[in-house]
Amino acid sequence: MPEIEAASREKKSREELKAMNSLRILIVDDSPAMRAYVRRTVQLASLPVKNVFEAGNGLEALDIVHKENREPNKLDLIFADLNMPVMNGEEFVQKLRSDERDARVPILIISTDATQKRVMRLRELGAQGYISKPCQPEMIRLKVQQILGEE
Amino acid sequence: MGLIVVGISEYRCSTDRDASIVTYALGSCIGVGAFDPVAGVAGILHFLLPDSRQDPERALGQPASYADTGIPLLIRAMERLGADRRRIRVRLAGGAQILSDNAQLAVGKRNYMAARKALWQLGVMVEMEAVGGAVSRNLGITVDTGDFWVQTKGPGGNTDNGNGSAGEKLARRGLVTGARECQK
Amino acid sequence: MTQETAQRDELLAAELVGAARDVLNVMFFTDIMEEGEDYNGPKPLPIQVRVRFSGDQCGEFRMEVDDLAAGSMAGSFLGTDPVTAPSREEIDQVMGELANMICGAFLSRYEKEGLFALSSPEVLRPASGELSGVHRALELMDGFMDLRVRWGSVSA
Repeated sequence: MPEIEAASREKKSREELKAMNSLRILIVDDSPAMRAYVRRTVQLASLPVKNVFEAGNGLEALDIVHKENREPNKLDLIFADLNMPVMNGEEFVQKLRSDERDARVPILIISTDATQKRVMRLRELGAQGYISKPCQPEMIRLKVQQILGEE
Repeated sequence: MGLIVVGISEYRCSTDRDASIVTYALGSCIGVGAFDPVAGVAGILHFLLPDSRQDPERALGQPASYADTGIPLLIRAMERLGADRRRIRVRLAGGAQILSDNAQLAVGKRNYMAARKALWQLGVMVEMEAVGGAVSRNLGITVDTGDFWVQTKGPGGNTDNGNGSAGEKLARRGLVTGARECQK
Repeated sequence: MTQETAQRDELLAAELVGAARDVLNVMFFTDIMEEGEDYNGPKPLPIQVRVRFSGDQCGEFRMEVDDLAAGSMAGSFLGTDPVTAPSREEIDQVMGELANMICGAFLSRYEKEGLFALSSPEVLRPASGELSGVHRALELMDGFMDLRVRWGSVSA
């Protein structure tokens, strides 16, 4: 799995992250309620978050990625839903991964759409994790810690 | 070593590094164990029922009987001793469906949901849980280290180390993170 | 209705309730107290959410809910202080998400290998229009909910 190797090379230690207090997170979901839920979870999880960006669909998300994902203003993690208007989550992951510069930002999918076909396809496209809704906030925290190389 | 015993509808918290806090015989009741590693504050609440609105009069006299009134009491009491809710680690034990509990159908499940709701409203995350099943549990914490322990007693009087049905559920949710579950 | 379709609808209704219970328990801290063909409450329920789905199967899902349950569930989901009531806009947004999750969880149970796309939820106050198909009326811990799914192309 080359994507995962690439991501692990980019992993920062917990101490580094804490010291930097610099996590930049993007939440992509057409549901404002779900964006609020993820945002609250991220805040409660005591993660060293500096910025939380939000997008209502894949296209808006790509705009933010292209603006923010440049050194030294790098995105550290993207949460993405699948069912969204304009550009859905799958297309967003595909587009993001096809751009050399953005190929390493970890993506965590949070969706109700937990069919095996879907999960496998997203893994192939290069998403690092999949959380199926309904989910407890602790599950989101755990996946984030795994992806960011904590613990 | 001091042992602080928390009875039903009670809560206790402490910064005494020589003390342990413990609560016994959690059936459908839930034990909420909380620890702030920076301030060295530990606490346990042993609540009985989910919702104080069921009996407002009793809730006034014994607010620790209910999840919605008891959990904020515990967290605030710990904060008065120097804890910060953003650092507090919480473990839940209990919420079982005890067979003799037919009259109060699913009270264990209601208690569990009410505990999660109160903690979500307060902004405190749950680190680990040993809930459900048809077992009785004891919950304890060593104030000095913040080590929690859960003892589980099966319905036939057997003891196990908490890796039964409740343990499987824990593993699936991925919430087991270094808890010390010990044999009775 | 043949006996076979009746049996199939019965199974689907059970899956629908199972999906709803799962979502309500985990993210809304509430539960289903009673389920059946009808509920013993006000009619029609004032808030309706529609979600259309397409893919291996297409159709429409509708959730209806009363104000009390909607307010309580929105507050639970957002984690707002028990005394601060969520705004109407927040309630509508959370009810949209609730419908989306129940529909998605149901379709995932119904067809484990299938692929579906869900439309953005559409919240209507008051509810309008009838929808035949698999149906369950639910009594929640503080209010009422009505769930319906219909397969086949649905007129806009």
